Amino acid sequence: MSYAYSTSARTLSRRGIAVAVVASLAVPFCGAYAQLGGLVKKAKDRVVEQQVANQVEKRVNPVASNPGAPPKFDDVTLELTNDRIAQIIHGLSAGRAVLDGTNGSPSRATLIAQRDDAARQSADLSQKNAKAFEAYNEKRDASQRCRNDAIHASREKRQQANDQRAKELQAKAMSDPAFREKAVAMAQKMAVAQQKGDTAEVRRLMIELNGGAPESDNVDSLAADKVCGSLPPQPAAMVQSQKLDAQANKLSDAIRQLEQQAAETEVKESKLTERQYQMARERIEAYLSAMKYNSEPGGFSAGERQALGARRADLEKVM
Amino acid sequence: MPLGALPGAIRIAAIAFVAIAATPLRPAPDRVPPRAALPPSSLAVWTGKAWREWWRSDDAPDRWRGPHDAVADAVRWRTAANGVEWGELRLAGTGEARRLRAVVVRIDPRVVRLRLDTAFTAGGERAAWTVDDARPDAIMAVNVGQFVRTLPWGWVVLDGHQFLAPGSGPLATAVAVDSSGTVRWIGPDSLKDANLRRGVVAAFQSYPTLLTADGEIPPPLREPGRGIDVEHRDARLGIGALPNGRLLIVLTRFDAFGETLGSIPFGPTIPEFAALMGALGARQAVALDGGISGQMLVRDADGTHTWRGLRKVPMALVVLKKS
Repeated sequence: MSYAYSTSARTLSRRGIAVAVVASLAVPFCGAYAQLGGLVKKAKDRVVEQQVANQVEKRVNPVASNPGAPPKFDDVTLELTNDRIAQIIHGLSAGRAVLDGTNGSPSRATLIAQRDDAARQSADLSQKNAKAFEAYNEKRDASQRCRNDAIHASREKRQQANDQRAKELQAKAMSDPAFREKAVAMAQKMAVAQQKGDTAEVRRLMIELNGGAPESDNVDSLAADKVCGSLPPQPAAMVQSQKLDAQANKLSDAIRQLEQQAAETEVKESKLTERQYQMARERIEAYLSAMKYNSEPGGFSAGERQALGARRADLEKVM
Repeated sequence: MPLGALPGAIRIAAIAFVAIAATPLRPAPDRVPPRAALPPSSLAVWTGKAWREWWRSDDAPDRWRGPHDAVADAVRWRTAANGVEWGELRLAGTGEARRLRAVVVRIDPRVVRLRLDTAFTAGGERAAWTVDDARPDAIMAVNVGQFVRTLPWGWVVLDGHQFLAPGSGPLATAVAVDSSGTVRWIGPDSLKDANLRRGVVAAFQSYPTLLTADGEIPPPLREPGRGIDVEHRDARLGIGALPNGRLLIVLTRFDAFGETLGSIPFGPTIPEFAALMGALGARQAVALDGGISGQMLVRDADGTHTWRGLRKVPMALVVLKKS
């Protein structure tokens, strides 16, 4: 067995392993009981199943269910006493002040007005220049199609050249032991570099093996420029409209940041933890919503209903 | 660097590299580190004849590779329109979740049109969308995303334009619809990739991720103390992807006395809800704003079916017929 054959055989064998590994990974895993962790017992004993069913039946018996009952109070779901509601109103008021811009930053109302103004101006420009925008879009799409075709053609051409070059190198590897040795050594170095995540070293080794720098990344784009020319310039009104859109987006982000700041202030000033506060706030919203639509608020203790009822007007004002 | 991108000249080296890389390594020891237990709970489904327990917190799977037969078979699917089916199932859990109903919708995005609608009060001071505002031609509508006060959290694309910049968080997932109607699921790190954002006509972000791309339950949902409250019970809403590209939307409702009290925010924990999404066949899924926000509408031949929330929200996913 010659060395060349031996190397080739080993490579093929490893390729075979690689193919098998890839193929085995690609085979869809589809068992009847597909979840892991032993959740489903395939042959569940009927008696046990019946027992489980009976237990669940007892648990869900509607007689035992009281929808109006309060939740289990714990260190997240706190009972809404007079004091806690006062704390929450204090937090809500502080948050409202942030939104109103009392800390020196623009108020939410100001930011909303600025954003809506920018969006309105942008919409006006789009409306007034609709024909010009449409004409530009058509030109751009045509240019894009031309460029896509040209890029595809350039890539195909390069691919063919590369394939040819690969064939030549494969032939060289079969006939030139020195080149073969070099390729294998390089591949090993590349494997090490790849494992380390050293992409610069991988690239350097590729260039070394290739005997020169690879073609530049934008070679296909340059080919497309030659065939189709550059993209047409945007109409000035379109550029302006896009600037206004970007401004509106920026203001939306600013509004969101202000709201986040207000939410953080609410929590801080309420002296509750964030989870306690959010839970309390959500329950208060549910209470106010139910009261607004004259329905019975479910999930509150008698004491909570009394406390919330007493401060309902204050809560509605600051929520 | 992907091998396909290598210049042809070094392909031999690449082949050798692949071969070396394919050489089996010594397998890592098959040990699962001990972890803290989820709070004790279980879920059962009403099969039509009996309750069948299908999930326990002390035996919860880390990954779902397909639907759970008992859960999937418990849904009697009804066609709302071409590409949209819906059904309900009854669940029995622990504590406040002892009686639950889940409304389940399957959507084929290839045969319908998905769009996002937003609604705010005139001054923009409050979110203002409810299911009652769903456009009359909507086959289905549901609130999506999360929000702090008025504006949605995270990335929002409306009609092909970015309305709000991406948010970040380890368990955030973006759901994006491109111009062909294909839905892309984008993880927190991938949102920086401009290619993934290209061609998107509608997108939103939400959290926490319930199932990753291969049906895996994210580690923070498997045990307490990793940033997710695994104990809290609430009404839940989530969106998932089925293996065939369809979307799955699930809304849980408190079911002690029918839909009258359906909007009371009692429901499953996040791990239980992730399990429900997995058991219904989702490969990846993310929670939407449940609690008192969760609301949904489905229109079918029998009329309009509405599950209302107690809070107005800023944004909704609306399913329309393809024009």
